[in-house]
Amino acid sequence: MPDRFRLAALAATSIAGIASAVIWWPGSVFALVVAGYAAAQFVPMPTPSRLGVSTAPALAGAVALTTHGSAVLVIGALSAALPLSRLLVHLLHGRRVGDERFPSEPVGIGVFGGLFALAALGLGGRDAADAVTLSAYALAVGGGYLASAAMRAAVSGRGHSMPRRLLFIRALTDWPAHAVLYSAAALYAVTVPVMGGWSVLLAGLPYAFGHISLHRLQATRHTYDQTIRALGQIPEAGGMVTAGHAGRTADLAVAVGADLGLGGRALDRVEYAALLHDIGRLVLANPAVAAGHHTPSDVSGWSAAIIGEAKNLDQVAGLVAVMHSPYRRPGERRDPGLPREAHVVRVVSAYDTEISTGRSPLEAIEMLHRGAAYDFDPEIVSMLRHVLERRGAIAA
Amino acid sequence: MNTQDRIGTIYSGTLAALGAATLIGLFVLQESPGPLWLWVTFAAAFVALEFSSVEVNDRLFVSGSIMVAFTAATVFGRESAVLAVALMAAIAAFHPDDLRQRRWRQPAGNFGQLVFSATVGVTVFLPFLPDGPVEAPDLPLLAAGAALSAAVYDWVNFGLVRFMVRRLYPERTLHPWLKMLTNHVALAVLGAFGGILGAAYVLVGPVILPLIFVTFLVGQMGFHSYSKLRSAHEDTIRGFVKAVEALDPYTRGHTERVAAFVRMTAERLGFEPDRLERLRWAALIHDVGKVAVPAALLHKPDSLTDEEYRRMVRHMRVVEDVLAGVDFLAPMVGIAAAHHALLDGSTDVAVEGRILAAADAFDAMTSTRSYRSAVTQRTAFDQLRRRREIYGVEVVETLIAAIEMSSEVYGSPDDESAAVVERLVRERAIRA
Repeated sequence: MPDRFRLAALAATSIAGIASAVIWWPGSVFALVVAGYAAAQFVPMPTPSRLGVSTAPALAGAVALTTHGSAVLVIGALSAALPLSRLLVHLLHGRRVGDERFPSEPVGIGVFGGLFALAALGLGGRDAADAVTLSAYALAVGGGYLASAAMRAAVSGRGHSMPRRLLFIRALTDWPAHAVLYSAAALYAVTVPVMGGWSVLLAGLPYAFGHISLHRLQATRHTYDQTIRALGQIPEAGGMVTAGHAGRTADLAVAVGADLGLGGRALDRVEYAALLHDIGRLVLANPAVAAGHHTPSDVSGWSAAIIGEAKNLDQVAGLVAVMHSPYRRPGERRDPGLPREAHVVRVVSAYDTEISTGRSPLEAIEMLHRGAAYDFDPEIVSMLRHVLERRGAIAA
Repeated sequence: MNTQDRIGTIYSGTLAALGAATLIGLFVLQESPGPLWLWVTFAAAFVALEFSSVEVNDRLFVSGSIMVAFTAATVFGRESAVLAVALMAAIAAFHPDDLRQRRWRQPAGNFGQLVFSATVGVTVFLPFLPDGPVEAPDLPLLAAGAALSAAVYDWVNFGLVRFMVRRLYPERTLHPWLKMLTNHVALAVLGAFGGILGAAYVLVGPVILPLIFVTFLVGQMGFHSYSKLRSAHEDTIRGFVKAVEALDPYTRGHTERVAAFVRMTAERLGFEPDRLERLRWAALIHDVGKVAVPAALLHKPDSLTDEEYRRMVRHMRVVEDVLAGVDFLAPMVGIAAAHHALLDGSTDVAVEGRILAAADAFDAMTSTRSYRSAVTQRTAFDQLRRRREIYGVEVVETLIAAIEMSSEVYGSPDDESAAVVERLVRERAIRA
């Protein structure tokens, strides 16, 4: 996202926040909210999209419900306080904290606040523990979350050929973290009038349970990814494959797959297949096998057999097993049963192999074009070209 | 029916009778919990959580059912608390798998165990409940009482399980109660939270239930996914190790056996679960480095020269460095490297490295390789004792005791068979 746009958004919302504070809030209360939001940026909750979400939504939810009587006045400044808090974080700590969540997070909180404020006009004197109030709260949370996901799709869609619709769907996978934050906030808000400080424990423990579970899940996913990468490097460590081939192939394959519109799990399969497709070369450590004739399809078969020993990688093994099947044989129609993910890995692996022989990126793409429509899927070759142009590897 | 089955039936029957008598007594002494829809809601949550414990940390499984038990106890009050929770526990004893497979002995034992534990635990909680409706000033005593009562519930439950397992399966090792402290603390905290939650329900109303449900549902889903991913991670590494082993017919199954010997030894030495787990992983990956060793070197019929041995170690270290780049595997790679250092003559090696080296050596001696046959188990024990200065006396004697206790016998059945196989191996080596 261009810095000028970010700066303009930051400036506009900061001015709106200061203005609303001057008009509606005591300065000390506003300063506390800004500081609270700033602190929340340092306590992100892990999410499936790996962008994380700060605990600011929980703060917003708690403030909205506990000041229900004057929600109309408060909510207007809540979303504006967030950009000011980012400025504070930037000044104190540097630019990196929370940047990836801007502006989707303040937009989401702002829409939540606006919707809840509208609903509050019709709720009369109902308190926070009322079912109707909480229903309105849930609807406002839903609206805010959809707005946040839409903003994230709009921002990350710039320069990305993946349809924004798919980016939006991907952004929606972060719902567990948002659900925990807003529910914990509501739990605090409805119990604090009767339970006082115990409400912090009542809300804090379920929040901690949710946070720890998502944190463990993310840490385990990170370890799993690291392990797959390490296993993919073992043939390289044994001198059987060019150093770095697995990692480069995986990186490019994921980019091409994303541009093709592949979803989260399909992209994971592409990445793992790209990392592990040469692991079958370990079989060549046996001199009897190495002395005989073997083809790339043989290597794929050995790789698929090794990968298939891990039951959870069955689908990855299936991709690797067929990745060396040609796109189309002369005089025959294309086999629709061949998965596109397998062809993505085939094309990208072939590209990296050409690069490893000393060809330039443009020459390597030309080599692939010569085999397009038979050896290689022409659409995937074209997508690879677009990715390389975007990365500046070849001229547009 | 053999003796063990008969004893098991007697114990399960006794427990079931105890549970039934307890329930009958409670029906007489306590009032029925009401309203019925509320009890059904709590019972459904209790049963669902009892059947779906989650792995919150390395092999630490926790079920949230104890939290529901104390929430219900607080909500229903002194008049009905014990009966309400005992009834929930009675239902939770019958797992759908037991019903599908028409297993009755296990559920009967579970029924008595859960009902009795719940009754004792919630009875301890009764004095901490107020006479009338719960009010905010009651919260500190309620929380403390629920934590204490949850600990009692857990202690009685665990004691009954331990009693049964010790009598029916004496060969199984159970972690002593104190070594599972983290489990017990977690359950006490959940119990305390259940008490506070019950108080919140009384003070605020049913509106808090969906809010609690959402946060715990997400947490449960997260831990469930974490557990599945952990298993997938372990399966991936084991699958890779198995595939690599399959490349060499002489070492098929080697890492699994070494991992088993290592586990048996470390358990007898009283290793903490985390430490035991690290050692088990080190055993699984300790030979992965061999994939980078040229086959001619690996399967050389004669002993390796010093230079050839150094080349082999260099190749293995390259792969170990790759695996050490994985944060999770780095400590285990360190243990595997330490075991190699022991073979190089290093004396300053941690006990984990010595256990792995001793287990590796035992399996190597009791397996036939390309250059020699397997020896008898007795001979292997003697060899280990001769090298006790290298591996440590305690490690050697513990490993030997663990293998003898397992009633399995490894290696050649006798010296004559070993001599025959040795001759065949040498003949094949000469022809090769």
